[in-house]
Amino acid sequence: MSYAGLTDEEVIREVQGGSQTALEEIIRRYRNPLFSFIYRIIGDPAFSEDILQETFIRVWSNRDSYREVAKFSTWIYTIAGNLAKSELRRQKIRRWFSLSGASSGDEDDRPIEIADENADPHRDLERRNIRKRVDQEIRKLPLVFREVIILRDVQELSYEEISEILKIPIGTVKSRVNRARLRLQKRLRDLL
Amino acid sequence: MNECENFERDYQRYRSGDLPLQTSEAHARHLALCPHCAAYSGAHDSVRTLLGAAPLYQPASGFEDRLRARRIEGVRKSVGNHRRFPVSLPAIGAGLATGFAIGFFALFTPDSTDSIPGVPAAVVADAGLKEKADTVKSDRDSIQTPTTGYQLDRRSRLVSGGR
Repeated sequence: MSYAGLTDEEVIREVQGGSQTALEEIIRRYRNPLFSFIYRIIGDPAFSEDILQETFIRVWSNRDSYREVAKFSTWIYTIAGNLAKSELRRQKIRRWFSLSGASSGDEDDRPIEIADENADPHRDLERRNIRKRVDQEIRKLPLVFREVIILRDVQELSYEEISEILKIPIGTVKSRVNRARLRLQKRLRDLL
Repeated sequence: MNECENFERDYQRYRSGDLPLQTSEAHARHLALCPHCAAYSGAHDSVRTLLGAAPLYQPASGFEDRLRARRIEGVRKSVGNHRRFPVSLPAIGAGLATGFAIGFFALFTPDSTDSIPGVPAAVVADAGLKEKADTVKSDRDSIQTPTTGYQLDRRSRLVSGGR
């Protein structure tokens, strides 16, 4: 069965009916956006993949708890966001107890594949450096600003969706986006 | 400057078109004239453009295979857990509670020396069985006494024999 023309909500209905191929379609649709979101929150590709796997496992095991009153995207982003925040808390505790001052994830230089890579080799290095710098600055933001700016300006979700995912009023989302952009603007002044 | 503060406060709603038409037009007029607010708006736009151009990352190749393997492992683990604990936790809890209840009654029920086990106290009193029970009890004590005495005698004999 082809799911190409179906909405997420229609596909998840198939998943609720027990279809593994429908789940594979959900994985195909959300794998990269969710991975980007999680990776920008916690900054470690290995942990990010772990959380991404856990997200899809929970989608499958809790498929019956999804109700169509909410958009599927907000539901799955909520799961991924909660798991990412739990992982951040665990990392904090690990750092606290670590005698060696374990890495924060920033030092992790394991290769990570980038989707939609532009093939122009001359500008590639410069572009990579800019991306790396932008990601570093996003990661330096406090979590409350980081999550809204990623969801709004990188993932391009609507304010309403972000409000549902983070369980905060739309006004708070807007104000946090505003403040996050101003902070980033100061830190990325040389790139703007 | 007050207008600038208002503009900054309303900026997100202004950009998303949530403001009343009159307020929105006032902000637009102010934005056209004020370099500070133009810079403010420009900063937002440029950050947004920069972040919007940020790439989508993807997990390393073979993600689906690793996910599938993890799901299979998860199913195996849950089956293994069922085998390791064939009795469910509520059943274990109920068993423990029953055990505690029996222990409690065994410890704190009144001493049964004045009654005959299995016979209600009123029946014992009416039928004059109490005396019989006492007789049986005193017989039991008298049976035990010689045994103790024998042991003492034997011990003393052994001691005396040693000497």
